[in-house]
Amino acid sequence: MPTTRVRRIKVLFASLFVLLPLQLGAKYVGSEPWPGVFLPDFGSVPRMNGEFVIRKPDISVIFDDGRRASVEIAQLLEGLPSSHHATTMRFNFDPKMIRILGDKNRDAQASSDPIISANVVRWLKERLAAMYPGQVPVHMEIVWVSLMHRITDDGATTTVNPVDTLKIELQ
Amino acid sequence: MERQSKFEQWIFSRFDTTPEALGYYRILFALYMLLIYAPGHSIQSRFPLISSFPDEFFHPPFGPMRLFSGFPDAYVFEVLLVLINVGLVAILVGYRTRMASVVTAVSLFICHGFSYSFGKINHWAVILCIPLLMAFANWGAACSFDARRNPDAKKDVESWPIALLALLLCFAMFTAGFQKLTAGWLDPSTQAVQGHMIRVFFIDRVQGLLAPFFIDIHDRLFWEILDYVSVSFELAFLLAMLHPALIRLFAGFATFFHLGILLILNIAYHPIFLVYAAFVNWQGPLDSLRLPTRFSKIFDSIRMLPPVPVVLLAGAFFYLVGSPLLPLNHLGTLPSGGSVLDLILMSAVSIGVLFVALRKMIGAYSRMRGVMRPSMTVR
Repeated sequence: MPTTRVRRIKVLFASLFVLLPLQLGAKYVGSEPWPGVFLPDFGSVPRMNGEFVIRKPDISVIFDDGRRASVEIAQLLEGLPSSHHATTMRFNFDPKMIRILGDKNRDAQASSDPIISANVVRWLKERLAAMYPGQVPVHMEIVWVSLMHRITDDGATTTVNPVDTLKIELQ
Repeated sequence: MERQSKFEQWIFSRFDTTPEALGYYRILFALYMLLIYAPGHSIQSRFPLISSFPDEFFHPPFGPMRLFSGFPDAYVFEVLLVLINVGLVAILVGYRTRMASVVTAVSLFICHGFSYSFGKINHWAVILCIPLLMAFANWGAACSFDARRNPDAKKDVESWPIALLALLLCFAMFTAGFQKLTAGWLDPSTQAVQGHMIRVFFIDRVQGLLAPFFIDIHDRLFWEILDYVSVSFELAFLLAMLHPALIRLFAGFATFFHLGILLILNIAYHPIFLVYAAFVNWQGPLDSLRLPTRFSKIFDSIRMLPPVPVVLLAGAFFYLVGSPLLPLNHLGTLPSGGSVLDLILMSAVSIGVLFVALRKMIGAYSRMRGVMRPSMTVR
């Protein structure tokens, strides 16, 4: 192999020895880059001293005749791998996260707090129309609950407390 | 002749392979991608559906995806899927292998980039690097249209891309362990594996396979041991890049590690097997099955055909119809969204690894007995 090529390849390897730890550091300072040389880390530790606290959404839709139906996340986000569901709900329908992310690309919807854009409302209506043909949804309610799973010597108990609610007007 | 430094030996000699071994790996990679990953048809690769989501859902990770302001139209993904399917068929048969490998890799990176712009990255980067790196390794040098079209062309394969893949794999594993370490996985007051299992059991409602059994295990020591084993194994993987035999050893254990995650958390992560497979010398096992002879006869028939129509027609088939193995997914679905095919594949690989390990152990034991047995003289 020509000497120049050998030298270039060695420089490539040497560069990676510097860049790979830097990209790992970048994840701690900012966020994980893509493309990035990582494997799943499973995130933080949800268990502390026998208690597990998890935040999850319960979604329901209310129709014009007053009936209420529970909506499965997998149905609402049909087309996305299940690994994406929790993050997608959190980034787009969790009031806590929406306030953090700010009002990027959002146009204000009258009298809604926090802000859900008209485009997202339109998308929700299309999805719900496909899921409930012939029915007219008027509201969507996403109740974020804190699920605490406590393990004791006597067994395990689970308590659920609502902590935040997002109401979306669909008409 | 100038002596190589240890660094140069590691890069240019340690991961030496043969054109045939690399060719077989190329075929295995393409077969997996076409039959299992099934671009455009599997849950992980239905990229055109991304366009059905509003741009408000576009939260790109740090990197080139931030050059975009939203999701592209579906036709963009359809074009990329055509390139990917045709490219994979070209890689399979070894036609214009280098170009096909680069085009396929770039297209996959783009599609995955948009998929990960919902805020969740699924860590396929090392896997998608395979065709890009192997293009430079010259994995089309044997068992290929390229080799038969141009028999006088150089059949040299380069080992430095395999060393590079080793570096990427081992560092990626290290990042998984390092992040767990800094997140407090080794803190005795936390049981991370148990915590994640409870999260997926109650939030994601992943309650299949062995999850219902493990959810009732409350022994803190048991779960703490799993935390320590997970972190230690992933951190130690960094050392495996020193030698391909070490990678094979760690990969062998990792196979059972991944199977355990499937059984307990119902999460299938078998694409990583493609990376492990790069460090296996496939020439020996496949030669012993005489597959090359059988394939050679098939190849002799196919090579009489013009390669371009063959590649385009087969690529179109996979793009439009998908993998013939997809109907197996109708046998059942795991609660996490994985398929029965995932379970079959991971179990089969684990059994294969166990079989090879047992054979090696029996062989080593037999050799040891042969050495220890007193010599017998036959008169």
